[in-house]
Amino acid sequence: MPFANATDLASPYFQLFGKAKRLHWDPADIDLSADRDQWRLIVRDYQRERYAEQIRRLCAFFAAGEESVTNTLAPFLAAVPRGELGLDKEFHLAAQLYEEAKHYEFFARYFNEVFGESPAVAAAELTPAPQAVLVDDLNAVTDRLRRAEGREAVRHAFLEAVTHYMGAVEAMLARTGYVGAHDALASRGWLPGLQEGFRLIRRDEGRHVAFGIHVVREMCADEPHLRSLVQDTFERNLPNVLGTIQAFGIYDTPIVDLGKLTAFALGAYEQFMGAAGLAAIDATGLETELDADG
Amino acid sequence: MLRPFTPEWAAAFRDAINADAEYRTAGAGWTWPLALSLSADPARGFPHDVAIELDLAHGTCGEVRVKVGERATTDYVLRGDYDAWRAVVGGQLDPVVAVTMGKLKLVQGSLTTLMLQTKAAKALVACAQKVPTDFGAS
Ligand SMILES: [Fe+2]
Ligand SMILES: [Fe+2]
Repeated sequence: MPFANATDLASPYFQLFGKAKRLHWDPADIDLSADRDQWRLIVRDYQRERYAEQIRRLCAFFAAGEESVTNTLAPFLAAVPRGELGLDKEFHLAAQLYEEAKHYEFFARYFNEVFGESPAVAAAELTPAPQAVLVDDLNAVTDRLRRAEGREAVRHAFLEAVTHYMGAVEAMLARTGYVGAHDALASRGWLPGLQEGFRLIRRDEGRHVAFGIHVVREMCADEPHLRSLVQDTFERNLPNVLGTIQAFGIYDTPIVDLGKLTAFALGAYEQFMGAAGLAAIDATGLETELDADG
Repeated sequence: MLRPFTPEWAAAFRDAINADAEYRTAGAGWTWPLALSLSADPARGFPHDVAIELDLAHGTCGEVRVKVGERATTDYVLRGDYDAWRAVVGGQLDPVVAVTMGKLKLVQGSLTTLMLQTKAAKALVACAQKVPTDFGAS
């Protein structure tokens, strides 16, 4: 019954869709004029700390990541009817695809208008760990989803892809990174346009993460044998997820707090494992936090 | 002061674990024997790899075994060089950050399980810090 959930307005997926509509924003509206002036000063005044290099690198990781998730979300939408996963999930995923495109647009604008270079350079900045988890392995898992045939195979591939995309990439890296990057800039009063972009993107990512937690909980509760797919997906990805955060460990004065980011990422991981029934933790803590995000 | 990765140090480490109320709680969910493995470092007095095998279960430590030049056979094995272990046991490097940075490598066992037990890992390292340890000058 692929349309069973279509009009269930209490469905968490439908509610996420409602929130996405209420919290609409346009990357083109963010004022970057103060950032352009400040950027020149940060480049000039913090050469020893390499702050400009670190901020640009953060943005390059985010830009390449947002481009990659924009490229790889379509197979999720196409899988919903094939796996009879419920039309309400498609409502959310349609909003998410639109949001990922806006996130990439924001960074494309930032590279063009503040850094004064093409956003196409971002992909070349990725070191092996982020290249694997954000691009190559994400492509592989969503490609498997695209090719999966038959209801069961599609559902399994969907859960695996959700764990990778919403769990490893969005919960552990994107949302963690946006929280850390926003705090780093806010505590210094730097780059108000970038801060605003980070704040709005992080709010969207909270809904994307919430979608992932709902899917993992729902599918693992209905079919407990699927839990091993969640665990195996994290087992494969954890080294590269953690390696991506540590890419900022090469700096003597890291602009983000790596210990805090690692703990935050592992907290998100625990919540996913809890939702799968694989950890003695209930995921409502993160959901409350995500609700507070908007 | 005890030299690290010696039988005397391992025994003192076990006693520190069993005397520790913090580890009894934080380590309650950890039920797998774990080996701390040191890569050979002849200049520091370790001509062979050394592994300390700890039979950890439910917040306590049963038997400990010291294996010199032999593979550890426990379910979980964390391996690092002398500088890594000195930084972790000395408290300059958080054990979870050490694993994420690859300074300590999980060469046996499940990373997903270990990363759900970060409180146990930190409490275990805190026990090692209670053993008076002589790492020598850096
Ligand atoms: Fe995004
Ligand atoms: Fe997202």
